Amino acid sequence: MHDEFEMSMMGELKFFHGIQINQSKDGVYVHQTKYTKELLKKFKPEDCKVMNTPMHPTCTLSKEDIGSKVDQKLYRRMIGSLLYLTASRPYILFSVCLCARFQSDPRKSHLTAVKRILRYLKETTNLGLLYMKSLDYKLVGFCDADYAGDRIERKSTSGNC
Amino acid sequence: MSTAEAEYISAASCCTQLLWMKHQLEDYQINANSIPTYCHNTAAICLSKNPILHSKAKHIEIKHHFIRDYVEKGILDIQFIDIEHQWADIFTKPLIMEIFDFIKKNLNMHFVFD
Repeated sequence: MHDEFEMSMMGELKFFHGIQINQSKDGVYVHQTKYTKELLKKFKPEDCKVMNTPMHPTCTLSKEDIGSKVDQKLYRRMIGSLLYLTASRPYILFSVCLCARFQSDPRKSHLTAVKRILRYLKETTNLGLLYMKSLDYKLVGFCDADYAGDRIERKSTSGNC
Repeated sequence: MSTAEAEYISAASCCTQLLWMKHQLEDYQINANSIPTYCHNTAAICLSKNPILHSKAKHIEIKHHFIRDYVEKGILDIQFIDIEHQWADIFTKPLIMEIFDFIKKNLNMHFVFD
């Protein structure tokens, strides 16, 4: 293949597009610590308390919000950055995608929800996915649906892992 | 339209994902048969195991019923799981801290110390 294409060996994969990969004896770590730190620096939620979960259990966001408008560009930048972060943190997917639905007309309450995700990230900056090495291999599926979980169109949320 | 239908449809979409993964794994000589799939709605499980047309479920689109074929063939094994151990919950609703952390741990999310 070397004859056909120009290529070079650069060693073990450590850092690629903001995703850090640690390969050890136990398994492979995939995390985005550096990216998360940069993201927090960019959006500056420094002067805030940290949060334990990315979203409040009874959080309801609606489209007909009478709150004041916020900077749409900033909102979309935040959502975009957070969406990339879901590569190594699948568990924030739900809260990020819920906030992403209000990008066309973001209000103060929506921005507060996004900021809460950032505040949560502040607490868990160096959290990453661990793919453990093991011989015991099983494929297991989980499926769940939240019937009419969406307050706006009364659509159901489904998820599987 | 009921919770059972919502769960049934999500089980069907879960089935498509599992089949995709199964075919991928076959390339690595890992053959998975009767893949356990956990669902916490007994009505949805019964719907997938019983291949008769029920008048209460006739409005469910045919494309979702393909899960029945795979349950019948024995490729999928749909089982009931209690709500505390339903890890897919993290992708469908905002959770309280205790459950959130529990699922997060089980999804193999760990702190990196370097």
